[in-house]
Amino acid sequence: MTEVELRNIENFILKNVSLKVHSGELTVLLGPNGSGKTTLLKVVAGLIPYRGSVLFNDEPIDNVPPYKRGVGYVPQSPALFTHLTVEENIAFGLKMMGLHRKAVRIKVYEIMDKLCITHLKNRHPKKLSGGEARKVAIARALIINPRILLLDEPSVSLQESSKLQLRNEVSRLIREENQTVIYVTHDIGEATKLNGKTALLNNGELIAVGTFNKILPAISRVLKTFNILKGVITSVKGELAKADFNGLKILIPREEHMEKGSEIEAFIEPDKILITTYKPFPGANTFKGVVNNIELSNGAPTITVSVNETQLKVFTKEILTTLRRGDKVYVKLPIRYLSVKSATPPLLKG
Amino acid sequence: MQTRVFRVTVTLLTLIFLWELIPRVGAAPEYLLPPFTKVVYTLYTLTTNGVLIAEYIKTLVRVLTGFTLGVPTGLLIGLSVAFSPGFRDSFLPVLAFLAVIPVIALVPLLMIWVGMGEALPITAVLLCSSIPVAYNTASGVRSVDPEIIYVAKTLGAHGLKLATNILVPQSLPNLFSAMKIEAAMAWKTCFVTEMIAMSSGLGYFMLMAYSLLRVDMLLAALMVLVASTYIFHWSIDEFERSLLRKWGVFNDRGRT
Repeated sequence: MTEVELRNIENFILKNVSLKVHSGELTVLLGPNGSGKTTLLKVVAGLIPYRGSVLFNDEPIDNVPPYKRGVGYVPQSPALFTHLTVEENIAFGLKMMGLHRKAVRIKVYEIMDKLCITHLKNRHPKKLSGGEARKVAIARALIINPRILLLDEPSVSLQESSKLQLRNEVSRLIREENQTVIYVTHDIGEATKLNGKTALLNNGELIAVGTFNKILPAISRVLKTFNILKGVITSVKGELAKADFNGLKILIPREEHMEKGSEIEAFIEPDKILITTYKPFPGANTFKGVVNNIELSNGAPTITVSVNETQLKVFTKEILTTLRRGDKVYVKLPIRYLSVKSATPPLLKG
Repeated sequence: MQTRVFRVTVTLLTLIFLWELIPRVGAAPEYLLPPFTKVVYTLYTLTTNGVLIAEYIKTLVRVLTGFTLGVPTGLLIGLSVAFSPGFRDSFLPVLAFLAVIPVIALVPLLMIWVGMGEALPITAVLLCSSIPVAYNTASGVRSVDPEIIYVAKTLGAHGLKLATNILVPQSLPNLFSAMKIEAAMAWKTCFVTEMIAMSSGLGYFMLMAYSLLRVDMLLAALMVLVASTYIFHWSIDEFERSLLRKWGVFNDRGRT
């Protein structure tokens, strides 16, 4: 399998990026929009110019054109070939190699079977759902047995269930097929759920590399507008759990290994928290709080709300005009936007 | 659908009836506007005695030859212009410039360069079909989603393989809209060329009818021209539709 190394990569966005992607490993590339994540993928694929060096198994491939690099590229818009059916889309890479028709067919069916998309084989890309299109794009990239698989925001605009399926598929690829993968995301919730090495990119610079927990301080520094809560699970009930975060009792989605007493971290994006001054929101996770601070830096107003001891950062546009420091407000943390992760992760297999 | 056909039929029949009526009641002299039935009869005689058919086949061969040579030529030029960004920047504006020249205006020039033979109308049709096709192919290739090209490249497509497997099929909608506009243009160009410089073909035939002041012959030839152009346009349309059906919902351009 292939180990990929980037040495001092520079171009119009990237600033001296050096990164090692070990063979058969998942590397999560995390960073805000415009930080150069996609650009880095395109450098690995050789699709855009760069200075510096890309090495596959210690061999520089800077002079190798993209069509000879053997890289599986899945762009954010799946970019399926709209004039071909699903089956023809997947077969494309093998057809380019000039493989015999029968051999192509066998391989295509094998991979469609693995990804459970055989029933889509005669469909046209325009008639696929977002999740289906993403799977087809991944199958199309995998069929050439890529030395490395590059996934650009593969879970964007997917439903929660499809996201889970996708993550399971990626971990299966790594576990069973020893596939080297770079997984780009801007979503911290997503990054917490992917058990991989995380590389944090900001403004074209590589800020930190390591396990998610290890580089968490750097992540919250870069993506400063982001709420991290530490707590302990007090009770579990089916797919939900109740956790105590410094006196704040929040209902959270429960992951398999979480039991009563597990230490956890919960994450929620500031724009996902609801805020109002009038009356409490219906449903769970509504709390009374006090506006602590309103920051109007660079056009993105951030409201800090104190609930008991906890400070929550909130983005909102609607009630800004009336809000003052010290105002009493209600905030709601919708369960579906809460990402949860064990603070003490279970032993990873493989 | 049925009401639509019905409405069109009613309109057409009314117009034909008026055409028949006006000269018959003496509202217009017959030598200026012969009644519909007389024109149809002239068309019938000209067809059965072979005069019109001979001229028509000449025109048809010229149009088809010019068009079948012109479209691939345009495709080839368009693709090579679109292939590298440098080439594209230098030649696309030139193509856009050439595409707006009416080929009819070039006929006198072509008469000198190509001569007055059979090559003249064919060249004129070739020019009027290839340049717009070239321009539309080039701009069609430019509008292909770059991510699609990136993916195709990582999957091993480059050069000719990339062009035939991705670029041409992806820019087909553009190509077809150019072809449909040029289908009518090809007939007109051939017609005018025959009027100006040839001594055979439908255009020449009409000029002869004019010199004899035979309005019925003129109208009969005009009917043939209209029908041919329409059928030509229709067959390209059907071809496009069958490709669209084969390739699913190919683009979002609405079709009824």
